[in-house]
Amino acid sequence: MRLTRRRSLLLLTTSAVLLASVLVYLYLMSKADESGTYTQARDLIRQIKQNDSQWENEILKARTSINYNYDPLVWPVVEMKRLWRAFESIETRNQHGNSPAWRQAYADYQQAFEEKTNYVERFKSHNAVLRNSLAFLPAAADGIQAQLGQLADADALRLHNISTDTYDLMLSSLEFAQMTTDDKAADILVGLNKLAVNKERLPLEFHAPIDTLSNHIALILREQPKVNQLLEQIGALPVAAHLDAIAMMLDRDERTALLVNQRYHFYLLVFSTLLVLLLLYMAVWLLRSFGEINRVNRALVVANDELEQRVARRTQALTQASAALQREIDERKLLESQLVQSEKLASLGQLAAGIAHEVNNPIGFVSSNLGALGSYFARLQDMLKAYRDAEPAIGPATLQASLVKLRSEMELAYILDDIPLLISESKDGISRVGQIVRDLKDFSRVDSSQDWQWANLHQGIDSTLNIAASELKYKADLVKQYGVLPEVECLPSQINQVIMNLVVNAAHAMGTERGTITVRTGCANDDKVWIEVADNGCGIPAQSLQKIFDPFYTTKPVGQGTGLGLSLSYGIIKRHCGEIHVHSEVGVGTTFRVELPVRQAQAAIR
Amino acid sequence: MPIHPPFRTCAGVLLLLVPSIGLAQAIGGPLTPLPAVPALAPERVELGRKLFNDPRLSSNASLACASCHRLDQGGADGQVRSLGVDGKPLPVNTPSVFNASLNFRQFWDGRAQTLEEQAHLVVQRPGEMGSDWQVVVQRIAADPSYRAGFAKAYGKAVDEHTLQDALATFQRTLLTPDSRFDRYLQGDTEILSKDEKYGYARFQEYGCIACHQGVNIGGNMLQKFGVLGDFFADRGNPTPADLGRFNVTGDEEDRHVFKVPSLRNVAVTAPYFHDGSAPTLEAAVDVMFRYQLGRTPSTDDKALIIQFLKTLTGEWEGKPL
Repeated sequence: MRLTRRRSLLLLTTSAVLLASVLVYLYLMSKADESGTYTQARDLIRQIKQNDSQWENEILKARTSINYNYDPLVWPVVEMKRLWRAFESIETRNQHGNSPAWRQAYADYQQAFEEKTNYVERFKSHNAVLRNSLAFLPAAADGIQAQLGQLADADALRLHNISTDTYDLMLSSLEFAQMTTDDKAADILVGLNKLAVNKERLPLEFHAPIDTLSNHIALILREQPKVNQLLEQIGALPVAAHLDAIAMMLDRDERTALLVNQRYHFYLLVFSTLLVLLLLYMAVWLLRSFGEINRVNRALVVANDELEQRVARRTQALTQASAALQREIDERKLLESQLVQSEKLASLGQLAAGIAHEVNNPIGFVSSNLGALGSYFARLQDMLKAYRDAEPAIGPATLQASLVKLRSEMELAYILDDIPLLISESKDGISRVGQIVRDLKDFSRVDSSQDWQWANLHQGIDSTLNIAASELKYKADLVKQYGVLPEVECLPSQINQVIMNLVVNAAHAMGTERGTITVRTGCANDDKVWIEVADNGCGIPAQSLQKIFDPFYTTKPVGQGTGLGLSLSYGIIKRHCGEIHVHSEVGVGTTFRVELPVRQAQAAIR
Repeated sequence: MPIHPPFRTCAGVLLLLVPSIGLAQAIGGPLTPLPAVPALAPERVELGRKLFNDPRLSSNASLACASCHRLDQGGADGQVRSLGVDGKPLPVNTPSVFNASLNFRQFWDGRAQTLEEQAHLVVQRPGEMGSDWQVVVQRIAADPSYRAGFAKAYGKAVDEHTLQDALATFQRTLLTPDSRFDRYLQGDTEILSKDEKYGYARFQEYGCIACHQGVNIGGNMLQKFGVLGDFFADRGNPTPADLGRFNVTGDEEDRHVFKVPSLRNVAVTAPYFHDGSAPTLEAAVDVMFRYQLGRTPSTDDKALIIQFLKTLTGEWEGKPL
C-alpha cells in the first residue's frame, strides 16, 4: 500500500517535472532571441564601419594637407578596437562565434583591420616626411634661384640653364607627386643628374643647398610611390566588406532565429493549450473527489457525534447507577446501624419496661402504706397528746418527773412535729419514683414499640425531657413553648429518640456558661406538625453543617459520640416521611426543626 | 609658414562656425592643448599611486616605477640609460611618464598598445624589473592594506589585471596641463613672447611639426630615425636597441623606426633620443635637423625653436615641472 503510494507520488512528480521542463524549454526557445542583443550587435558593427570610413576620410585628408594633425588617424583605431571588444563580448554570450562561418568572418575582419592598422602606421610615417619635403621643395628651389641671381660674374646663359634645370626638376617633382609614373621618375632622375653636374660647375657655397634640394627630391622620388602603394593597399583591404558580411550574417541569423522562435512559439501555444486542458480535466476530477471526500467526511462526523452521544449517555447512566449504588450502600449501612441501635434500644426499653413494671408494685404498696402510716400517726399524735395532758394526774412525782425527763430527752415534741413531715416527703418521693417509672414506660413503649400509633407528642417529649433531665440540669435552662398539637401517627419511641438526640446535642453545644434550650411545637397546617429544638450554644460551622447527618460524623472526642445520633434521627424522620432541617450560626446557636405529617400514607409504610 | 593675414580672416570665419576647435586650429595648427585630467575612481588612482612607488614590483624589491620615472624630474630620471634591477644600464633611455597616456603606443619601439601592457612588460622584463607577476601578486596580496584597498576599489582580490589597471589608472592622471604654450593655444595670445611665437613659426616652417603634432606634440606615429642621413653610422657603436621597431616586427622596413616622442616638457627631460645620446636641447635639435629634416637652420632660427620648445613645459600638482 505504502509502496504503491510512494511509487505513484514519484510518478506524479516525474511527470510534473517533465511537463514543466518541456514548458520551460519551449518558452526559452520561443523567447524573442534577445533581439536587444541583435540590435546592439548590429549597431556596434554600424559604428565600427562608420569609424572605418572616418578613418579613410582622414587618410585622404592627410594625403593632401600640409601640417596635418595625425591624432584623428589614431582615434578610429582605438575606437574600433573598443567597439569590437564590446561586439565580441555580446557575441560570446550569443554563441555565434562557435560556428566555423562566424569564426572565419571574425578572423577575416580582424586580419583586415590589423593589416589596415599596419598600413596606416606606415602611411603616416612615409606621408609625414613626403609632405614635408614637398612643402619644402619650392622654398629650397627658390633659395637656389636667389643665390644664382646673386652670382654677377658668371656666364648668364649657363646660369639661365642651371636655373631652368632646377626649376624643371622642382616642377617634375611636384608633378610626380600628382602623377606618379615611371616616365616622371625617369625625368626626375635625369634632372637630378643634371643638378649634380651643375653643382660641380657652381661655386662651393652652392653645394649645400643643392645637396639639400636633391636629397629632398630623392626622398620624394622614394616616398611618393611608397605612399601611393600604401594607399592602394589600404584601399584594397576589405574591412568594410568584412563588416558588411558580419552584418549580413547577423541579419541572417536573426531571421533564422525569428523563424525558429515562431515555430517554438507555435509549439508553446499548442503545448500550453494541452496543459490547460489537462489542468481543467484535473480540476474537474479534483472537484469531484473533493465532493466525495466531503460527503464521506460529513457522514463520519455524524457517526462520530452519535457515538459520542451514546458514550455520554452510557457514561451518565453508569454514573447514575454508581451513585444509586453508593446511596444504597449508604442507606444499607444506615439501616444496619439503625437496626443495631433500635435493637439495643428495644432491649433497653424492654428491660426498662420490665424494671418499671416490677418497681411499680413495691411503689404501690409503699405509697399506700405511707398513706396509712400518715393517718395512723395522726391518730397516734392525738393519743400522745392525751397522754401528756394526763401527766399531772399521775401520782408519784418521781414517775411524773421521769416521764418529763424522758420526754425532753427524746425530744418528743420535735419528733412529733417532724414525723408528719418525713411521711409527706416520703410520699412525695415515692410519687416521683412512680412518675419516673411511668415515664420510662412511656419512653420505651415496650409493649407496642414497632407499631404505628396515634400518639400525643407532648407526652413523649415530656417523658424524654424528664429522662434527659439529669443530662440537662447542670448545663441549661429548659424552656417549653408548646402549641396545640393533634395526635400524630408515628412510631413514638423513635420520635422520642430523635427528641432525646436533639436535646442531648443541644446540651453538649453549651460552653462553660449556662445556656437555654427551647423546645417549641406547633401545627404547620392541618396535616403537618413541627417540633423545634433551639439552643444558644456554640453553633455549627458551615463546612460541618453539610455533613452532620452523615453516619459516623462527629465532632465529639473519640469514645464520647458514635456519630450516629443525627444520622439515626434523619433516618427516623425520613421513615416518617417528614423532614429535618438545621439552621445554625456560629456563636449564636443552632435550631433543629423537625416536620412530621400528622397522617402517614398507609401504603408507604406497610 | 608665417601666419598670413588671409589665413587669419579664414580662421575668423572658422571661429564663428566652429568656436573652440576653430580657435585651436587657427592658432596652433596641428597642435592641440592637453585635455583635462580625467576623473577616474579615486580609490583606484590611490592604489596605482601606491603601487607606482612600491619596490615590491621588482624581483629584488630594489626598484619601483618611480625609481626611474621620477615625478620630480619630469617623469624620467635624467640618466642616459637608467640602471635596471641587476644594476646594469637598460637598452634605451627612460621616457617621461607624464602624458604617456596620450601616446598612441608605449615604449620607444611602440611594443605596447596600452599602459596596462606596458606595465605588464616592464615588470617581467629581465634586467628591467625582472620580476614575475605571480610573485608580484603574491607580495601585494600579502599586504593587508592593499588587500583592503583592492577589495574596496575593485570588489575583488588582487590579481595581475587589477594591479595593471590600478597602475594604468594612476598614470592616466599624470597630465601636465597649463604649459605656457597650451595657454596660448587656449587663447591667451599674450603669454608667449614674440621670439617664442617666431620659434613656433620656425617649428612649422622647418617641418618639425610634420611628425611632432597632435595633442601630445608627437607620440602619435612611428618614424625612421635617419630619414635624410644615416644617424647610426655617424654615431657608431650600433646596439640591438638601435634597430627599433625591427625588434618587434622583424620587418626590414621597420629598421631604425621609433615612436616619435612627445615634445611636451621636452626642456626638462634631457638627455634625448632612445639612446640618450643628445645631452642638451641644442644637440637634439641639431640631430633632428640633420637626420630627419635634411636641412641646415640658421643659428637664430635654431635658438628661436629652442625658445619655443621651452614653452611646452607644463605643470603637475600646480607646480611647473
